[in-house]
Amino acid sequence: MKPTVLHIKNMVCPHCQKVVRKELESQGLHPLSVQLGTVTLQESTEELDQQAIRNALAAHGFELLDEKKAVMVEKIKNIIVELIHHRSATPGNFSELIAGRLGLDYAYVSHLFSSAEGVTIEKYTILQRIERVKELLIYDELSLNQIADQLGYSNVAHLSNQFKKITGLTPSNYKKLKENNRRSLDEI
Amino acid sequence: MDNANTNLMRIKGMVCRRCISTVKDIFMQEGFEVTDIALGEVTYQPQTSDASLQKVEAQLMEEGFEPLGDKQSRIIARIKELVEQHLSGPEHHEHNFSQMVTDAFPMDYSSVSSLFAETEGITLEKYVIGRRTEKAKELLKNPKLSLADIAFQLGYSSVHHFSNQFKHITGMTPSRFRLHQNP
Repeated sequence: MKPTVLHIKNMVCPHCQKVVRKELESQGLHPLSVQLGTVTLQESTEELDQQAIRNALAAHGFELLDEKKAVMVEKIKNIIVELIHHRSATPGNFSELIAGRLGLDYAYVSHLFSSAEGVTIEKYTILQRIERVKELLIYDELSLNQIADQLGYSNVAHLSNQFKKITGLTPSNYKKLKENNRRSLDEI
Repeated sequence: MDNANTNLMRIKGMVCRRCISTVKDIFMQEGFEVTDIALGEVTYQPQTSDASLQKVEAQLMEEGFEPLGDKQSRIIARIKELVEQHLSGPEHHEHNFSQMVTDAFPMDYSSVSSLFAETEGITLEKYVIGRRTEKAKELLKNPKLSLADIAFQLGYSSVHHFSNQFKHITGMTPSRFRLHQNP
């Protein structure tokens, strides 16, 4: 019996992993591993009711991916989300890391991503980074210097400029904002 | 909506829609009515007992979230932890206390210590000396420890310094104090 690998869109954090695991288990399935974007099931493909899985996941905003290109795009996003949101120190430049992890040429990966998403990997990375900055600013635990450092900005000015360009506000003005305009990571 | 009747809890670690539903479930399971929820914030109807809120907080922690207190009380709590750590044994003395503080916070030592003084009404230095003296009193109750042992354990550079400071605070020397304790 050959295990099945499922590719799932919109997984961004450990809670997503939990929810996916729970849903699959409640379908009577046996996940061998649940990672951001990828699940390995003990069951073989023939045993699966794809539609039932699709529906169960859709209830939580997840999507089952089967098209090769979409799977690759999601893999790239998973790597970026992991590096920015689930690490204590984020590197400054991702291109080599992404290419290395996928075992593919960066030019190819980057072209594939922009043609599918209509936005470049660089731009997507910036948006994710800024979202993380927003989160950290709201927690009010780290100085801007530390945030810049943690997220791989070469200096605070770079962060501030980029932040202002995207959000229209300086980091310190953003902190003073009363309304919450953070975005779900899978909607970026 | 009647805002006077709702509480806001700020929560660390929420990043997506699944986090929102996970947090909402935790509140609802404990019988709270959630009136509004967004990434990082929950508005809920308070209940009369504190017990269920504590359960919610414990559940949140278990799920990898963290309820956020206000910044000031978090910093003060952390400073006090550092003081206890600093006084807990000689292995913590290789770094002096101000270095520990500087390592732990994004601000420089003088901002930390003035924040402490403003909120606690006592300077950080005095607070540390006070805690150290309290620790010394405890240790002095143990007749097996020499004054030199105690001075070393509490990070004093010499018995002399220890005795002087102790006397300055309590009005009696450590040996006198010991005599009073174990007559």
